[in-house]
Amino acid sequence: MTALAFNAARGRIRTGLLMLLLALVAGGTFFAARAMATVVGTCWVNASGGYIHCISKAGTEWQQVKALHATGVPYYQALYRASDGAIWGPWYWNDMAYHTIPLGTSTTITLMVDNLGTGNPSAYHVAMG
Amino acid sequence: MRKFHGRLPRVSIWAAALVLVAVCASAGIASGLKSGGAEVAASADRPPLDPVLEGAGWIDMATGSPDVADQPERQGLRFPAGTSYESALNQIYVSAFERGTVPDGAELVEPLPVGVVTEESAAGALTISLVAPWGYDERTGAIRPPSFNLPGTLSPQEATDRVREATAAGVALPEGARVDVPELADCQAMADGVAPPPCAALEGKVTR
Repeated sequence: MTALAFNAARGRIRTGLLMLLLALVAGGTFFAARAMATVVGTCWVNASGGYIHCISKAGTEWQQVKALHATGVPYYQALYRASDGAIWGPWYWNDMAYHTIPLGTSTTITLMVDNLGTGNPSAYHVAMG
Repeated sequence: MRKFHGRLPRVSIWAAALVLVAVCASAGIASGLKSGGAEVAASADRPPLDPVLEGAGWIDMATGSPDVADQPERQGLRFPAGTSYESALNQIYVSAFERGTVPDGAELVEPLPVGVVTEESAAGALTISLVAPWGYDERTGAIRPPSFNLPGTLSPQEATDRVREATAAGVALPEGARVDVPELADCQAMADGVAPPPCAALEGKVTR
């Protein structure tokens, strides 16, 4: 190998390593940000229709719910993990306050609501962080 | 042609880097899923739990809300006369998640009967079982994890911001928050040393 070819190969390797490092940093930042992000939504649930799966999140520290309509109380809230069928709760709420469960898990869980009120449908604020 | 040959390795390196990132990310997610733990108020900042709280069903909930009937005996916490259930729960929650222990003003006492969550003595002292301070579903026995509430007058943004800020600061309760106080079924509350009949979830599992 000539000195010129050797230098060219070394340059390519150096560039490649730099690109790899940048890609790893970008990828790590993306996934870390995704894990830390808050998922927020509005969930519409018919009365007496049983539990509705509202939102899911992988890696969560807290889960929050609030009835947005008076016709949406009382209601049940529960948390569900599809991978093994685990269920947390249920919690029975009969007001329009924000209720937060401080459950931390690295797995994907789903926030569910069962509307025991009269609204068809009623809206609920749901969030997981 | 020479130019083409010069670019080929660079494209390959980019492709390899992207594949590697995808593999690393997948491995990270998969390892997180495999760990499968779930804990109330779990955070890196939380101090280690005192042995009296370690493994408690209302904190360690790896596979969902555990059945109260499957829990080992745990001591009760007796609060001074005049302490309300809400005040006691508030103290238990803050103390457990900010210091990893039980409140200073309460005394550890003998376990309450299986399935009993609170006992009010004739003198007005309140004892709370450390098996399930927030009670359990009387139909299924599922232990209720602690929770807290914020005023419904806040905007959704304010409500989520307050929880995020408290979580980041390692504070148990966000500004303006109060612990939720469940309405316990009669079968979970005991007065003057007389245990109530067991809840439906415990029928056939305990004798009184």
